[in-house]
Amino acid sequence: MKSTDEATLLEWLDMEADGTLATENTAALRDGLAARPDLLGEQRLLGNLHALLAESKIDVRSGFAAQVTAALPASSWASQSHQAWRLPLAVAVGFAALAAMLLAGTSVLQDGTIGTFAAVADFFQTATLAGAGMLGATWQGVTLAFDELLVTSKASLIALTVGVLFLDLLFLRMLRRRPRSSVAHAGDDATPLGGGDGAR
Amino acid sequence: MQPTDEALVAAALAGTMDSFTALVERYQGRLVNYLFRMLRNEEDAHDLAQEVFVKIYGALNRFDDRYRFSTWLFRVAQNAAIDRIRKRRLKVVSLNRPETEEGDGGEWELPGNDPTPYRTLRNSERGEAIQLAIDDLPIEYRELITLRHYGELSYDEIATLKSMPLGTVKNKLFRGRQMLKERLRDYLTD
Repeated sequence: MKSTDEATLLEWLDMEADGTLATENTAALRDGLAARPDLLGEQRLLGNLHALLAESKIDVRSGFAAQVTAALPASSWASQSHQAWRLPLAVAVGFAALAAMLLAGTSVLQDGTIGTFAAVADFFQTATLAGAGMLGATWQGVTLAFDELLVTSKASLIALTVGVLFLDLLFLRMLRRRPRSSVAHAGDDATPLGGGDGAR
Repeated sequence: MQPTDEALVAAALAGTMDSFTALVERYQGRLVNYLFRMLRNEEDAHDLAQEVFVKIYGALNRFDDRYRFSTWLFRVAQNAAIDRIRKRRLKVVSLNRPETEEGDGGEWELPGNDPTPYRTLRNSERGEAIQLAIDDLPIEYRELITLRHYGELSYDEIATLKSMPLGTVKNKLFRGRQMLKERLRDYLTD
């Protein structure tokens, strides 16, 4: 059997007292101590040291957890996240209602009992159609203007290409730079594992 | 089976307040004892532990579950304790301990007077001896001993928290305990 050197035995004794000695080394430590009974004193000292450190702990005052819970802010991320849901939800519901009215406007809403709603639905339908028409016309106009500009001048084509590339780069940079509030490693006090050894 | 820290964080984020209370109950003893060894004052340790839990709660939605909750909590606690000690240093009488190479030694100075319940422990010769033995350790050993024996962090957690290789953590804890053993030998013999 290969004998274990003193330094290793001392290290294992320390780990044993700390409860971190690997199971595969337990038998080797026992054998080592049998061969070196002078280390039994060391084992006792280390055991007593751990006991002494454990004894020196203070008690947490009673009701501490309740005090912490009571001190938690009322308006935290929880309420903020609920508030963040409210607006998109309201907008979505509003649009859904509008769509339902527009779809149903020509059939169900023709009924005289809800004639007012039918009129409002017609109004929105007409407004939407007019808006779409104007948008289409504007887009067509812009396209024509660009066509003319690009066909007549090579310099304009190059300038437009450079401009588009610049805007692409700008957009990519903005995508890479995430907002500070949503970054987990921003380096503030409550940042998980942000920065060095904690000594700021 | 006890839910994991990460499961409790997820439940707290989903709106279960009791889950955060469970986290507080799970860590309160370790955190208060760690802060007590940093601040040497029981009242301050409790106050700061409460502040740390409140701060953690406020940032819970930013917790990255790729990491351990414990290391996050103790990092926040460590930073908060260092801030508190720095503020306190202006009002505190230093024991004139020479600064170490890391320059952080001064942050661990004992307050000159301490009218707190810590007196009960300090009055005990053994309690005072333990505190002095820990205080006399070089800063790099003292931090690890405090995190291990009072914060009850695992070697892995300490390695993550201190950004150290696991082997270095083991070695420093071994050396630190050897130093403590020599300094406290009178109290360790039967």
